[in-house]
Amino acid sequence: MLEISNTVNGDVSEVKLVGRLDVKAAKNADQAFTQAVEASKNVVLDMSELDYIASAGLRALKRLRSDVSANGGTLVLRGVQSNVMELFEMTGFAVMFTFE
Amino acid sequence: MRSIIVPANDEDPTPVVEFVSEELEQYDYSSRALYQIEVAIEEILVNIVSYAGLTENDGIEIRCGVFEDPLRAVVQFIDGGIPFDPLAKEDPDTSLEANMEREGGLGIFMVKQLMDDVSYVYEDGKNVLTIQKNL
Repeated sequence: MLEISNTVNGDVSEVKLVGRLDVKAAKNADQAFTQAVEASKNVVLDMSELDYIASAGLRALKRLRSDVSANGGTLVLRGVQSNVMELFEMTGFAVMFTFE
Repeated sequence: MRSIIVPANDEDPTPVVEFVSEELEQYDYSSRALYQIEVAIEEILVNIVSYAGLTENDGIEIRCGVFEDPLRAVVQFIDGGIPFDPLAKEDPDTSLEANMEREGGLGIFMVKQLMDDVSYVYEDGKNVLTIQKNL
């Protein structure tokens, strides 16, 4: 189960993910990410309450990164939990993103 | 080991994750170990649904047990689909360039990295993939 909320503040969309970004949820996340990119140039993804991600979720984040870059904006991943961060590092995806 | 059967055309990991979590409930496991088992379950189910050539009328049998010395969870995925050894493939290049170009291909690599042991055998007309994770 994944809850996604999106707050637009000027030229920044802040998207908060709560729960599990599994292979099913990745499809909903794609839609929310597209809306965020259409709403603002820059995106901050609050992942502090995201407990789970696997490869389908990582691919959704890669697509978001590509869309934000194509828009000339920046993407920041905020508050990534340690279990989740380990997967970014293991797969080499960590170098694609800016974390804070 | 106890077992359940899930539909072979559904990659949703939730029923299997719940089954395995229940099996582990009475043991002292780390949340990190459970998280990594959950990731392995999702990646393996996605793989079977993608490559085994099964339909909604087929099932995937999941067996789970906990063994000691060392304390470890064992999960088996058994399907009657096309013989397919997911471990035969070389590990992917995880450089930035390769990751940007490639769509997919990381799932089984993650399983191999996260689990303490992963083995595959084709026997009695079935693919049997076994993962073990020290708790």
